[in-house]
Amino acid sequence: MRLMIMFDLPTETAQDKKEYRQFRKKLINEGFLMVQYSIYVRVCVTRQTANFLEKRVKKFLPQGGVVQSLMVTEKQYNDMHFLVGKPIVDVRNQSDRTVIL
Amino acid sequence: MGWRSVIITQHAKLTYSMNMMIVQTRDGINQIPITDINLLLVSTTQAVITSALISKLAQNQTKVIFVDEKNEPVTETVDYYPGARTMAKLSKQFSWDQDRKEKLWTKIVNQKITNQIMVLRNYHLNGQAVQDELNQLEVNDSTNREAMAARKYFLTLFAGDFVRRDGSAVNSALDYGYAILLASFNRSIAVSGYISYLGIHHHSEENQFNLASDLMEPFRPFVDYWVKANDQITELTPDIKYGLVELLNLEIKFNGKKTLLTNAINGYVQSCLRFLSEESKALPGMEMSLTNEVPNDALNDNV
Repeated sequence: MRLMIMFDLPTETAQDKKEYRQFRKKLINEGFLMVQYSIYVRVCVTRQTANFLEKRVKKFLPQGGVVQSLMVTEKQYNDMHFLVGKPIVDVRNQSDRTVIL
Repeated sequence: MGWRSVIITQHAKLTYSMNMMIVQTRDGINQIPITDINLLLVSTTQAVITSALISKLAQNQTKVIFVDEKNEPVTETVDYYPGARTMAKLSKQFSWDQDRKEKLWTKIVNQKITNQIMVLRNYHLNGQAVQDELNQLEVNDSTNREAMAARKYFLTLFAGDFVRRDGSAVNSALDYGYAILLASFNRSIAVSGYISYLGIHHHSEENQFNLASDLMEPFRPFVDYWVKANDQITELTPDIKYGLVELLNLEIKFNGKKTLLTNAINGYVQSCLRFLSEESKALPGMEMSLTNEVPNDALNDNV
């Protein structure tokens, strides 16, 4: 499973910017990987863990803006077409159970 | 609960930052969330690891295994205070009912020998000699059929003149595989809050992992099965080692359900411990078998 978090946040005031920075940092702390600006993805073992993770994200949402979440299966995620550009090579963007470094 | 096995094979620096394990190698920087990691095998003596990282991994109850200069596993981390450990559990463990221990051990030996026969059949070898030993199994294996069966089994599996302790590549591969297996049993036992010293059959004073040594027995044949497929090896190459770690993700049938070996281990350990602590009446189910074909479904590896 993949949990994707997509957001658009206001950056008008200093308070907005602070909220944005904190939100982004917390996402990274939860193990999310930025695949594009404002689109973050995290591998989850089961739908249950994806739901659990979504609940954790709900605890640190910013006040304004739009934040969307989407759960897709590994198959669906891997079927994504890259019309331009290439996928990010990063351990966090793979779901192999064994990682050799 | 982690689900990843991470193997470090080259000159690297392992540090901790923002809930992540940072691995700096010659090729660049890799970051892996701590909570994803189930097992970290530092398969090189050229890695540096910070105490902050070790401490965080311990809090997440990740097993960390280190190797010696011959690249064979020599030590692993054992956590002091897993979250589930309580005084009540420990006093139960110290007074596990003798009768239950014997029943469970009998079943474990039974399952181990059954699995050995399964491995032999899988390679179209004659399992009759081992089957004969199984037929003579008594309560608590008082006649030590386990050892007799193992002897005959290894002779059948790896041709006539095979000796289990001669330092050959096949033996090293078996030992390597067992070490990885033992570590994941230790992890599972520790996570459940029990201590690994106090076993039900093994009682060596030097063995820190008596309980894991007991419980892992039925799973050893999976390592044998894998090594047999590669028994032409003359050297324990890195690929063989990775394969043995990857073996934890082998798909097997456990109590009628398809599952990954590592998940089967966790479920199995818990049901054994519940039985010993008299939280469940029935002996734990431990029917397991290989799924029909050699695992080649690429998606099996993925979550």
